[in-house]
Amino acid sequence: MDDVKKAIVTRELTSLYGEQAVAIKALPDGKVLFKIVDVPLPLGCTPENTDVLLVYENGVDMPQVLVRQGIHLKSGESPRSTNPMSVDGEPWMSFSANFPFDLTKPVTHFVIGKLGRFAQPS
Amino acid sequence: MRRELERPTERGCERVVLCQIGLSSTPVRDAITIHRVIPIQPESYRWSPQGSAWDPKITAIVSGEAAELRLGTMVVHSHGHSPNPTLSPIDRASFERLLVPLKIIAPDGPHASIVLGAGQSVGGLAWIPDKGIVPVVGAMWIDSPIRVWPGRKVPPRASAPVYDRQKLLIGEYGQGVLKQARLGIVGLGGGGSIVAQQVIRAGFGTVVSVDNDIVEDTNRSRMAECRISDTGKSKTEVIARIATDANPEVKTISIKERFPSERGIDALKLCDVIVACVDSFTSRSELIRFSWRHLIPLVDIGIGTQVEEPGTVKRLRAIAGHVHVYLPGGPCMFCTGLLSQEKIEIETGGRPEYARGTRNPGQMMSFNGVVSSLAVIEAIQLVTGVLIGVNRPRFLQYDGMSSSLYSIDAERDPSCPVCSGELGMGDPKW
Repeated sequence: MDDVKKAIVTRELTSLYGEQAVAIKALPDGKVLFKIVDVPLPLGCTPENTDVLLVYENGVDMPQVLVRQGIHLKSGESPRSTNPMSVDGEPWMSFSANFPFDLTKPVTHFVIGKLGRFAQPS
Repeated sequence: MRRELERPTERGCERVVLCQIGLSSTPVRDAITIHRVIPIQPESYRWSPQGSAWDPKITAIVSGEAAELRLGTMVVHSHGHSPNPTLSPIDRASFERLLVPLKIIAPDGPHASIVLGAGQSVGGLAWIPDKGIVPVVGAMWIDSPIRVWPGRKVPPRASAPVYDRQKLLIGEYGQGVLKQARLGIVGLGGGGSIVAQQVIRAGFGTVVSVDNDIVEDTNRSRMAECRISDTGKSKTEVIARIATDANPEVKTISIKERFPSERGIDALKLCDVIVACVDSFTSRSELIRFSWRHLIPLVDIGIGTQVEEPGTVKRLRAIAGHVHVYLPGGPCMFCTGLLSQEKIEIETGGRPEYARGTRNPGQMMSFNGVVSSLAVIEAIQLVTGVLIGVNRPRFLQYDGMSSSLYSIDAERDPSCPVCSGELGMGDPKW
């Protein structure tokens, strides 16, 4: 991920979530991680906020969006089609969410759209 | 290393660490570079009436591994209370005995025995091929700031009035340290020329400038203090003239060659800090390996842009750069992802000698100036340590669109071939 791409993604994330909420880490395999703390989940979820990790693979525009484990939906159930995983030594969770990635829109649009999955009943 | 050496042992022996070492040799100075430090475990010490002793198998294993890497072996211990440490007669005799087998298994050496003393003192002996046994007169600890043992001798009020305002910030001592420091700049284009201009005016004692390029109409506007009449001249010549006109106290060494060249390597080996202002992954790869081998901190800058299609009024979508401080022992450019074999192969088509520069992205002096100025601040900090009490980010990113700076985190990759294969190896051996 080059400096320009890093700057664009950072600017988009900090403009919505604030500078203090966003941390960036570069991994030796070329991945770049953007961690955003305390991102609001859809109403009714517990907890109300979660941390979000965007994982950019080298040369790939669309990031993988991960959240912290332990989210419960408004119904009280755990979301289905999730997969716990470890990234850079920390526990995260991938989840299935059908939301298209649009390069012409800020990445925050994609993040919010993906997190909308947790508004579903199961 | 010092903490390890000062830990008490059960048997009351002095603690010892073994090091696998390289040699960074120039006509004016030989430096031992440490590749790996191996503490001797407590259970391996033996009591001896003559002082510290340990299982000889350990030395055999460490020195054998070193020899396979074409490295030498160094024994380090501490005389913690001595302000002027030297090897005792017993220490010296031990070293000379140890040299016999070491010179057989690793005839290229170097080999050494040093002792750390109180404060910032160090002493000892080293065996250098073709030079024999020579005294060890100092040490440098590569950190931010760089620590020099014994401390730098800066004469009082040594600097000229031209630095009076600067000394209000960095002090007489800081100015004196700059005067003794040697800084290398590789790449003298839009970024490097501004770095050169600033470090010359700041009063670095010696500036080594490395670039094989000449001034042309297409690059002159971005080169600091470049005149129309400089067209056709080498960029190194322009830098030398900046020093002559602005600060004749500064010695400039011009290497009108592409790095790495023999002259460039010899000149840069003596630098306290190198600032990399190059535009290719291949050049960066050469520089990080060189810096790691000779344990020289490297400040790397870069800037990139993204523009809209021609014909639009608002053309600039993004302009961003970085200022990364690479300290040997920390993450390298491969650890941070700035470099990868894939990127280098794409750049060169698999033929390193055919390295192509970047695709000539747009540039403007004012944006270059931001990253260049930040790099100079880091270089001054590395040498003088004047910025106290702040954990400075090592990997700074600049977003020219929002005029903001942010830092990224990175860790050393335990499997990085550059960090494990090049760190502290010194001069390559054939």
